[in-house]
Amino acid sequence: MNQECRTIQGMLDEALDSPEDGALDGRALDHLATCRECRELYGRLRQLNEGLGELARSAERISEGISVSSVSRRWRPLAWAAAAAIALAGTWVGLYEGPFVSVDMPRQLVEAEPQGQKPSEVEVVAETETALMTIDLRDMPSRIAVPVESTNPRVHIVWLFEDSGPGPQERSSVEPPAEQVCTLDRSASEDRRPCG
Amino acid sequence: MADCTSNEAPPPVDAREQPIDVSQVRARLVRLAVKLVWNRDDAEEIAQEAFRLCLDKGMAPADPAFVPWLLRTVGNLCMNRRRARRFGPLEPWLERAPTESPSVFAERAERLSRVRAAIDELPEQQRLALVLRTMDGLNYEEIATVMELSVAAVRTHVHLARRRLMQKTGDSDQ
Repeated sequence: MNQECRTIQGMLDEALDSPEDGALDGRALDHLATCRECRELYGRLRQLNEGLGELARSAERISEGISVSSVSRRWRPLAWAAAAAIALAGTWVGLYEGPFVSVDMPRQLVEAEPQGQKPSEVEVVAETETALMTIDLRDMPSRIAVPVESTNPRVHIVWLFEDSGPGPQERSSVEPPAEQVCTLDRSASEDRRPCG
Repeated sequence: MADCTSNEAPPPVDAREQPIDVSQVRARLVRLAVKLVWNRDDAEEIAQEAFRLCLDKGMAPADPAFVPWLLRTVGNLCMNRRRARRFGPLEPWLERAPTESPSVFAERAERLSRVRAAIDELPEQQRLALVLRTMDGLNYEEIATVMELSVAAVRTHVHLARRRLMQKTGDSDQ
């Protein structure tokens, strides 16, 4: 390590404190480009900073008391049996960004109405894969739709979650939005297309 | 251009014209305490104790030193309590990306647990300065107010804490 390394390494904390401002000037960037030791140090410091950020978010969650168990109690899958839908997975990508809470979902049988049959004639069409899914808690909508893996590749499943509220009473059934659910099309190809 | 001629002291933490919402301050104290003791019940107790001490001291919310004093007190109370119990598992509180495999998630959780343990082994002032800066989002001037140190001293504490953490967690990775 030479004097230039010491000087640059002294700047790294400032860069970590304001990464959005690009606190490293041209001189520092030039040095990092040529000095492996300083480059590796900066990389490790940034990795540490990211880890501290993750810990901070976890601590926020602890302080708010939002754990896996509490979320499981509060959010429950609704109408999943009827939700053997052809999902527009891309529609829900936005739900997967930001702070998450994980929810353990057990393996469950999925029943659905074969196309053209009466609603009462449901049958098992697939089994969901056990899933540890995540839910975005920012700007929580009243409902969340989550694509779920199933044992049948031709069955695309969307689980609908609805806030059951703080009270002990829960709604016994909820009709999912029409545009999100359709009856199972057993001849459906792998192509995903909207319902309705 | 910023006014560099002002000789005024840096603004206190959370200084604002509107009255301070004590419930928000309490939530903030709990959040800080959780980052130091990693237990919500303990954090709630510590925040409560800090408010009790504040009451005993006769400090009012309108006092500019109100929040810094509470943050400092919470920090001190956490230092006294932190050895009382081991940290709980981190996994239930960690974000997990949909594309992240269980093994990668477990590995990340383990790495973060090591960072958390390494933070706990830091000298007290380094630990509090680091947590306030990197996890609680205070700037150096605010931390200096809270810890009753100079800004330069706070910068040194944070710098040393980062290097020590990197050394500890880096060594265990290799």
